[in-house]
Amino acid sequence: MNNWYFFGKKIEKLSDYLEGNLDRSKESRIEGDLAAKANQQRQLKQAQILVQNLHQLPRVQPSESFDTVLRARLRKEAMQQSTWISPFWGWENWRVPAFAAAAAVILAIGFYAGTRTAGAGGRYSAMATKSNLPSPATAAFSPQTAAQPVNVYVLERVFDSESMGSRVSGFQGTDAERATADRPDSIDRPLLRPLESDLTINQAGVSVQF
Amino acid sequence: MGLQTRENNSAINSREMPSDEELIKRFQDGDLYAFDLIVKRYKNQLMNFSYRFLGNMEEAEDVVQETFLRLYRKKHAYRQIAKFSTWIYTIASNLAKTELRKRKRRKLVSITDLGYDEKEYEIEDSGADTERGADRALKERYIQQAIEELSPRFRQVVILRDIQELSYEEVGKIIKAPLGTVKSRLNRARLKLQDKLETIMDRENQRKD
Repeated sequence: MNNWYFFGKKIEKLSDYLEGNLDRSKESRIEGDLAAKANQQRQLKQAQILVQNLHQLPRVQPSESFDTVLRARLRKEAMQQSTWISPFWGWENWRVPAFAAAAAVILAIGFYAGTRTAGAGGRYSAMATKSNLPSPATAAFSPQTAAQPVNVYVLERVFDSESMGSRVSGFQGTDAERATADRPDSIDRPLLRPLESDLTINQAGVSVQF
Repeated sequence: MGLQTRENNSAINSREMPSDEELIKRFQDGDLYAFDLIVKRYKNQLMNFSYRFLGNMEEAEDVVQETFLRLYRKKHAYRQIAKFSTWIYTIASNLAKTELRKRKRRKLVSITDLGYDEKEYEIEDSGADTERGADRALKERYIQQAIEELSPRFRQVVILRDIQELSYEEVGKIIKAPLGTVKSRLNRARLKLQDKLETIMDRENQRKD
């Protein structure tokens, strides 16, 4: 093993030389040293070849099931986080009644909003289809929101040939909301969104007429 | 000569894409979509890093999954003073090292673990010259094996710099060492690899001459 690399400042200089970071005079000095030492020159060539080979190693990618597995693990993680309070509140016992009560409240609010909006001329129609945005159901059912058209969503994902991905189309909302939803690097099947959307979004595309 | 450091994704796409730091900030503020984008941006490079470090696809994938789970759980641990890429690489590095220690404890290291599994690679089909393709695959196998024979600290630095092509500064932050240490450790790691791969390197050297 050559010790030349190991001692003195040359050890750092060698890295810089290999990567072409030195000015011409310093390169010449190193090349002069190397010329005097044929063995080291051979090793330097080897080092260059090694670095090239390392650069050219094929890029390994995750398996096709990576996202699915991660999604499942995130879901489990979220469920664990959400059930953290259960020993304190006896959540297991109260879960079914709580969901029933929540559903009743939502229906009551929806009914109230519907009658109010119908009274105002039935201006708005909302259809949530494959929505990936947070809580559109809340927006659709809230009486305050129903009076403001900016939160009514008509969504679908379309293929965008420029970004080679999908984007949200047909969005009716504020500019800020659209900027959030319609990103060029949008993902076809979000990892985290289903965690939220299970309860808040009509997955199959449900029309709600006001 | 000159090896160019690969530019960061966020730098390349700065006009259209949010930077890593913007994404993690959004995620910290509750934008779950930002998490998806971080995963999309980093899963391939972390997988490559973990695989080169561990030499096993399943373990490597598990490390990457765990890295993202840590990110999900501890998103608020990230502070804007650090570059996001170095932060996430540090998590992945630590997990990979832990995995290595676990493996040693389990005494599962065997020559087959260190070997090369052809199913895990897609070898480029060079058409008429299949012999050359097989030659290349064999060379890659030897290189991977040589990397795995390095001690973890040498392995880490050579993968981060020469395979992942991170800058010296980034490597220094990940391994928590000054620039001089990074360079000297890298040279030592390269020398060890050269020793292990002497035959291959000599053959290529002669071919080039």
